[in-house]
Amino acid sequence: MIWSIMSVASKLFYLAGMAAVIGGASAYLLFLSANLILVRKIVAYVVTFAAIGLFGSVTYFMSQVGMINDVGLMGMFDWSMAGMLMDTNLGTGSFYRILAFLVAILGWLVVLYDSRDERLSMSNPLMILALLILSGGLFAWSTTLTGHVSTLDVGTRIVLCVHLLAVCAWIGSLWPLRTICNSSDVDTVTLIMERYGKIAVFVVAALVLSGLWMVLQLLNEPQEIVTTTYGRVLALKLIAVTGIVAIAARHKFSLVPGLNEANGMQRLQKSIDREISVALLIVIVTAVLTTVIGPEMDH
Amino acid sequence: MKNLFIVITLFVAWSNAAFAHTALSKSTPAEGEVLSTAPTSIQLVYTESVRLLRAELLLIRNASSEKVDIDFEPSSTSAEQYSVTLPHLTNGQYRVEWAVMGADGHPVQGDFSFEIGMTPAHGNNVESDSHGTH
Repeated sequence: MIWSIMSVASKLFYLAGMAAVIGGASAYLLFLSANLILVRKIVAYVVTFAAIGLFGSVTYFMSQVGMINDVGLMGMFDWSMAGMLMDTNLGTGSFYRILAFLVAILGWLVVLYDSRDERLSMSNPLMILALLILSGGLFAWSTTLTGHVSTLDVGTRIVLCVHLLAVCAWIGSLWPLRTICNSSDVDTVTLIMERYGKIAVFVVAALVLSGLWMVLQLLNEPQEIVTTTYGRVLALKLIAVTGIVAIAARHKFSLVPGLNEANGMQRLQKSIDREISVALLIVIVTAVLTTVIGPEMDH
Repeated sequence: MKNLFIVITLFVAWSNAAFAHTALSKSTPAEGEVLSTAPTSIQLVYTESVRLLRAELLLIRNASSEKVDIDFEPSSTSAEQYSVTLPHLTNGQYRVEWAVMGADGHPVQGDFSFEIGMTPAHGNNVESDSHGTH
């Protein structure tokens, strides 16, 4: 059980890191009109979570080494077994994931260095876009190499990439969105939130459609959603996703149009806090679903 | 952070009964089999092509166990069937522990037991239903 807990916890760390790297870059590109202090906060957020993600990626790989050896915690440090696992899909996926986090950390540190000069920091969206594409591509590729979907057809693995990138872009941009609510410039916040709301419609559509497609691929029959452990945990995730979509819809149609009202910003910030809590639940459930639970066989 | 680990532990405990993609479909000797003579090898058949990364044989003595040297080398390629050569085994109860990795990159481990020289009448070779977990 200790290995299962360690595997889930370390996967949670690297999923959170992936969300921050992709969502942070998306938010940065979206907030270019915002002030430099906010941009620096986004850089600090991405670099911190990328470091957590890097730690999670290494720990996840080592926990799999320990799980196979099954000789206590020291079994994690069996370099001979680690070398052997590097030659598997687990090793290849971990390598690309670690590489993506290193690229993100180094790239964003360059952005932080540039932010000493306002003119420089505001003129490097191309670099952020390149970082987003490179790290996002590596994350997506690494994710298709392991897990239950990795054994399915190429089309489903492409759908998984779309799902992963859409989820990360959404969840990872929540903290920057929450931070911007501290601004006293209501007009700028309203502009950014409206812009975010327009893009989010497509992101939510992509993640819901891709998620439903994968559910259909992973379940043999609909009743497995209640008759199997995998189905029940998946049902919990679907309920949480419905909840987060409802919160997002409330933002778009009620809270953002009311930002100019008294306490409008605080209400939106509190609602984003709730959205972050639900997002954390979704990431935990995803880590459990993709680590310790398998769908029925016959796939 | 503490609450986070409590939530994860509860989730893992709840999902403990779940099943893995890869499983041992058959073993020789089979789970619980009683043999009149010592086997010269162990046969393992999996539901899909896997890499056998750990195979250990333990001689069970009351509450303790003693590792038997079977000179096992982890496999560098995938296969559905494996044969592990055994040294000469004395009478007693044995447990085989194994760990594999399938195409999905998830490690799966399991074990099964057999006996030598106890009750020959029960020595039929039946399919194993051994335990396998992530």
